[in-house]
Amino acid sequence: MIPRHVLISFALLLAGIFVLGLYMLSLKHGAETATLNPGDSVVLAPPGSTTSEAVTLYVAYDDLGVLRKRTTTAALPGEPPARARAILRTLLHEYLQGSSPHPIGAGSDVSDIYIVNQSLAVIDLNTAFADGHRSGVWEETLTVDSMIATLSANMPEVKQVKILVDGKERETLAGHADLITVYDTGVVNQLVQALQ
Amino acid sequence: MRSNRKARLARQFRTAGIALAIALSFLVARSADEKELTIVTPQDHFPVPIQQREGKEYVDLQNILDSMGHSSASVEAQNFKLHYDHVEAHFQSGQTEAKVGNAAVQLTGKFLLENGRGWVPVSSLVGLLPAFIGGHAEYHEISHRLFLNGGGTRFSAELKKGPPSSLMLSFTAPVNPRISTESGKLRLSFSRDHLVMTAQSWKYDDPLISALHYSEDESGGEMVIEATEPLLANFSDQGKIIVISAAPKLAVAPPSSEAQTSGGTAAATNNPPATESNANSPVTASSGSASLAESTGVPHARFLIVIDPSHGGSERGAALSDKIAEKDVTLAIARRLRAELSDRGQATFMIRDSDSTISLDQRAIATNTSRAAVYVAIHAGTLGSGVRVYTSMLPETAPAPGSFLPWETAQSGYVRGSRVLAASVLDQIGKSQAKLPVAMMPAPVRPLNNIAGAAIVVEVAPQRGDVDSLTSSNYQQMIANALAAAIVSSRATLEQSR
Repeated sequence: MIPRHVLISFALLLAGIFVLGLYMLSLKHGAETATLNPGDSVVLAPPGSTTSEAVTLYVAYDDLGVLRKRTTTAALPGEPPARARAILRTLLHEYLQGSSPHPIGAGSDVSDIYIVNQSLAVIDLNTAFADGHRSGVWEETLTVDSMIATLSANMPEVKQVKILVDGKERETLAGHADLITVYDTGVVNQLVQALQ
Repeated sequence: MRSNRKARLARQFRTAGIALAIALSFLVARSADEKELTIVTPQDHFPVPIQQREGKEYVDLQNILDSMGHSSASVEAQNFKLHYDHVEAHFQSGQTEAKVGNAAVQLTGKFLLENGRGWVPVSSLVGLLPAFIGGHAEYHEISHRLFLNGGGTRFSAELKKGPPSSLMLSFTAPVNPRISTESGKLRLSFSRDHLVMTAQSWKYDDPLISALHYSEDESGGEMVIEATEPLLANFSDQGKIIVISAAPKLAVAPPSSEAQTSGGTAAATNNPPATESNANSPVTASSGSASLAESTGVPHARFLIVIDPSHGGSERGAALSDKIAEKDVTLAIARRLRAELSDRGQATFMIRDSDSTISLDQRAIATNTSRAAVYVAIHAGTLGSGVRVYTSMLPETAPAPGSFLPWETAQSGYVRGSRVLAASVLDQIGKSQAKLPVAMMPAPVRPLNNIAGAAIVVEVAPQRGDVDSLTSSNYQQMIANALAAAIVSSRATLEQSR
């Protein structure tokens, strides 16, 4: 003989399951309607506030062996990591053009950037960046210096830079430029001044 | 009535709490005891959890077979029937004998049936698995690894008697051991590789390398090479060959200028003078050579120049053209530089004199171990023309004699000397007849920061934009002449700063 209060509890649970099931179905139906109706779609702004701002780039010129300062505009998010990534992607966009003064491998990208204690930027390059990079002291040095100088010019609070490849530490970019070290932006900026 | 209900609730909570605690402690105990059996096949390797049952180590047999193919099982009462690739096997719970195909296989413990899964003792797999998949199996109990059908890496050792003697270890697949050194020993730990060899020892009647011991522990295989001098491991053939040889020795500068000031170091070491027969050995000296241990305590008695032809072996460096690899150009220039320095009576050491793979850390270790006064790394590139000389980007600090140096900033105390050397190279190349473009700057090139001595990287670019000039003997000789002259002219300044 099952006690009466157990039966009542069981009935209430079943009723609850049934009601929740109906509610879930209605939510699913609503979501499908919103997705499938193109007339209702709207252009969404990217997360966070993004404004078009002036960006200072230090662009490497292989034939002259110099880094030239150039100003352009780009949509920059407010969040420091996303902002740093957008700045470097603007620089890489220059290098990925057909007429680039310092070509880099197709598919090169900055996977992510982490800002630690507001002053250390950890740049995570994708594998295509390192694997597709031309090997040579000068070629690799120009790339590293150009990235660090560009980041430092737009985010002066960044004092140190560490470069990873695909989330892991790597000895060199393509056989020469040191990726083990943590770069001091002040030292790199001094060098960049001499290379202009 | 109400107090009874409260007491019942409290009792229920207490019981639930105790049950939870028991469950948690059981889980923690299980995770602490978790062991794995690694099964190594010729194509792959995979781990299988080991469970303790009746004082023995057991594994889920179907789990292993599923990792290699597809199996299916059925249970009837105490009988367990297993199918794998047209092979049918019968097991009975609690029995120590099984039938796999037509063969009877003796187990080293009882077959256990738990929740529809069949568990067998690990040591039984040596007989069981070949009955399913054919071939043979070899179980290494210490390292919990089971090698199937010739899976795993084998090696052979061959001592090439010198001088200098070297021990060549040849592996059937690339290996990546961890290398450590201690007094009189070089230790190679193969925890990331699966060496199939059993414990062995080799004794050698050689003044340098006296023995090689191979043993296994829980983490895998380990080699210990016993020697009378510090050793260095060089990798080649994409990690399939490791050559163990003596770490670079110190060389003493010529007697004409230095033997007097060194307090007779060359005589004190009691080493024979260099002869024609050892002129091609890694260490070349005009008057004699001394081991690292023998020469310590005479800091100004030597001026060793380490020449590092960058890249080598599987590391080709930059592709200078379809046919020209950076590693070949750097070696050619380095050899010319060595000859030029020897002609000028300077003691030199080449990091590599063949097409071998040497890591950047090993290059720095070899340089620092030899207490080199000068380190010159040769690179070649296609951008621009002429010669570019790089020094470390580290800030200059005062040298700290006698103290330990941080690996990542070992160069700091030597930056001034490195700049003196770089400026001297600029000066000498400027004086050359070819009037080559030349530049000097700090750059982040490995392993400059790790060198405890004056260190520069020389990148040779084409003479006038013509890449083929990098292989021209005239061009290479001109660079080597200028570099040798620069090193000799800056020697006095560098010695003062040491």
